[in-house]
Amino acid sequence: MKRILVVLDQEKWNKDAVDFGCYLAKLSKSRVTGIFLQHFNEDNFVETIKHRENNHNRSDKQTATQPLEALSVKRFREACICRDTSFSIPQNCMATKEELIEETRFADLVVIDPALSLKHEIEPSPTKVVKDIMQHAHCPVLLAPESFNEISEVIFTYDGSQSSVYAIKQFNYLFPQFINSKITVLEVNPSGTKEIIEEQKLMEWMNTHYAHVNYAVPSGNPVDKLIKYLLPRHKAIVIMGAYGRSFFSNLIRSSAAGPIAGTVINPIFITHF
Amino acid sequence: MKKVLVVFDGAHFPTTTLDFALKLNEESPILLTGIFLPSVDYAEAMSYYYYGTAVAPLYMDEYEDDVVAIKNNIDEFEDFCRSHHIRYRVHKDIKKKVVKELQSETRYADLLILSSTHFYENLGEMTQEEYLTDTLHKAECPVLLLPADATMPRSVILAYDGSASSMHAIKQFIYLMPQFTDMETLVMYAGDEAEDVPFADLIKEYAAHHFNKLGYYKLTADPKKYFMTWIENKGASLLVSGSFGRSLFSELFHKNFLRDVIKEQKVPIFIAHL
Repeated sequence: MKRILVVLDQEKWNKDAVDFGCYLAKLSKSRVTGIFLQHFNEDNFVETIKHRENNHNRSDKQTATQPLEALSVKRFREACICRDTSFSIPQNCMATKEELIEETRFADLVVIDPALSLKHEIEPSPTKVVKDIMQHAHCPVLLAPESFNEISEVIFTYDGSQSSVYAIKQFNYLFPQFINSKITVLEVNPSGTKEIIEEQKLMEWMNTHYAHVNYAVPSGNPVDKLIKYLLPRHKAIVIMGAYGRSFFSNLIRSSAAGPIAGTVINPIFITHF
Repeated sequence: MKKVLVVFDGAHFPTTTLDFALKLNEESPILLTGIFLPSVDYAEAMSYYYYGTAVAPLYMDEYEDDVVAIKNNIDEFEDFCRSHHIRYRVHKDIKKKVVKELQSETRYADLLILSSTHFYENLGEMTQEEYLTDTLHKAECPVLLLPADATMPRSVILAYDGSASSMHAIKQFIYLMPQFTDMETLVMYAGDEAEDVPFADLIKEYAAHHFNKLGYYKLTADPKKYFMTWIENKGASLLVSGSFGRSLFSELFHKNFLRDVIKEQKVPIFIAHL
């Protein structure tokens, strides 16, 4: 049974993260654990107090009469019951970003909405706090999609790096349920060559774990080609190594490149070595 | 199915590692890939000399013997796999330096099984230690290090010190060897008697998700002095350890201790590091 953390906003309901977390938990016969990210920290103390004062007269009577934390927990509990998913809510379910990162040592997966924000102004997705979690988490992070019906295709992004192969392996270990799905290894090579890096070794590993594997090596501008490849594939989950010295990590980090996570609607599984 | 590597260095035929791989295959089918390395690291030796051809004649006899030995080993390996119905692959004609080649192979593998006693023992104790340490450092998949007379374990010891490294090793062990999670398992913390076990609630929760028969133990005696004795007394067990990070257990496998650990190793050790 996997330990899947679903990270939620203490103040704003994240239906997408709960939906996808529950889907994965049922698929892998696991339980979801709700962790609520606290908005309050030393950096934004004044801002948080002012924002709460400005929103004091909201019409939501439930929020006005119940503590925020209790409401969040209640919503999560009800959502999991409605989705027929086993769940747990630890006693210390309210966590700062740092506490969450510490807890990822003891988790198999983190599911999070890429739009989850600790700021009061609108941020582009993935937000700063989500990027920080992706960078420092001790387990893979799964960016939840806005909506989905089912996942029937797995796209492994690959550039020959240790990080990208590590991501492929970790996804395979965590979710063997996808071994009969449509599998594609997508190599986006900045140099534009059509050859697959370490083709024999890669294929040997892939064929050991998956029945049928397709290989795609689109040429041209890597960002454009990658986004163009992913956009029509609504039922695909994308796997990426990131935050290593890899091409794909630069796509996530660089705001100039228009991060994949902010452009495509697919769920993205990210881990790094 | 997992892709498991086993290394053949020159004339040495790793019977112990193959027997262990056979037992793993009986639990759950594996793809066993034999990596056939030369008995001398010719590529490494040549790199010490700018005029590489000057050193070539020194190794000509060894090289020619190696070609024959490697061919014999390949034949014997293939016979072994066919007779025991194990899916297998042969990787030969290795031109890179030994450690670099193993690093490259481990990137595309799930597990590497090595004998701590026999791996490049023909090169002498000091060089063997160097090759083993380097391989363990650079491997990009977990390594199962076997002692000379490895038996199939009946219990598991998870070395835990609260570090990300020790948790990484525990997770990789669960993912790669799930058949062992039904065995008697001990989460062992080695640290100061006065200290609390770090993240005690979290390790208990995580371990309970994955293991069926759990116990917890705090090793309070001086671990460097008594660790190997203690583990030997546990019987046929398998030790899981993160290593080469800033952890107490990494000290046990630090270069200064590695020779003693290799000599004294009594149980298989599963090592995975970040």
